[in-house]
Amino acid sequence: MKKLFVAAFILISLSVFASDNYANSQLNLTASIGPVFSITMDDPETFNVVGSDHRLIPSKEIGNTIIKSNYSSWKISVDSVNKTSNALGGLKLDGAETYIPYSFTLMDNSTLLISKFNTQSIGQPITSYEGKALTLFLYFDHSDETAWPRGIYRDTLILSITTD
Amino acid sequence: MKKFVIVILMAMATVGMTFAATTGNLGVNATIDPVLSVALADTALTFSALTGTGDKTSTTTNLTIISNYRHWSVTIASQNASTDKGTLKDTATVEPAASLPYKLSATLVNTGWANAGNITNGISSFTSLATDKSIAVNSASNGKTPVSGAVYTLQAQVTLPSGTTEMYETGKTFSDTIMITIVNNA
Repeated sequence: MKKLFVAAFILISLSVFASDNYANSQLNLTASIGPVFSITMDDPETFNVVGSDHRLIPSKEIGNTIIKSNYSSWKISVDSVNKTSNALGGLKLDGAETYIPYSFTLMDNSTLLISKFNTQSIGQPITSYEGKALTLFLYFDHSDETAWPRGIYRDTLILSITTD
Repeated sequence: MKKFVIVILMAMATVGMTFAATTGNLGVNATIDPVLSVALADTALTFSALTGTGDKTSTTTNLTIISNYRHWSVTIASQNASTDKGTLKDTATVEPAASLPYKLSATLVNTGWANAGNITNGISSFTSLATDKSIAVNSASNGKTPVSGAVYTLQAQVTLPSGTTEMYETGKTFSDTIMITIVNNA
């Protein structure tokens, strides 16, 4: 009976010793990603639309548009205040109803995104933190024989981005 | 005469017994139960919706360590898979699941604690948990804590990249679980 009592005492002691030797707790970390969706454009630029040969210049790089998006798919479209069709915009002479027609392309480096007004591009992927630079080109009819009146010609282009 | 003698003896015996009972020993024993615990005021650290670039910090919580052992160590271990330790993982996306590296810091609140100088804090500043880190009593030092414990404020930090790195996708949630374990090293 005495031996049995000693053995029981040792087992209980070991059990208490083990449970007091450590303890733990769990900490949960969670982060969510907020939306980033912006478009910026270069400042408006004035350029000579008629070259030294007195003809309309063939083309003009208007400037860069920077898109920042962390949506998995986004699309861009271009509109013109003075467009005469989805294919042609118009530079309007101040104070007159005279328009120089032009077409355009919006390029991602060498890839054509869109060349029609009010037409969405195909879905584009998430951009880098510094954004994706798209370049807008205008094209004029260099063979045109019109003697365009002197003055300032303007148009307003509206670039829009949307998510799917 | 015979009766008289008997009375005297009985009286002396009574007096003698009274003197014998005036001293004695009272044994008093006390034992101290072991105390060893880690507790979190809030078991979650969260970040506001992450946008932009650079360092972003989480909410904070307090870690209370209580020990009446002289030697103890607290291990802080990321529970994500070995290649993702120290990162917040987007577990909802099957492939490729993105990960967001983070760092953790523990700042002692009750700096006046007598044994505070005997503790080495492996995450005293923002530190990656790519490998397990510890807060531990220095060798041969006394690390017994106050009854209310040694209190550390925990905070996490992530650094959003910049430049040509692709952004993290909006709406995604990244997470990790950190196991905090105290062991008696006595």
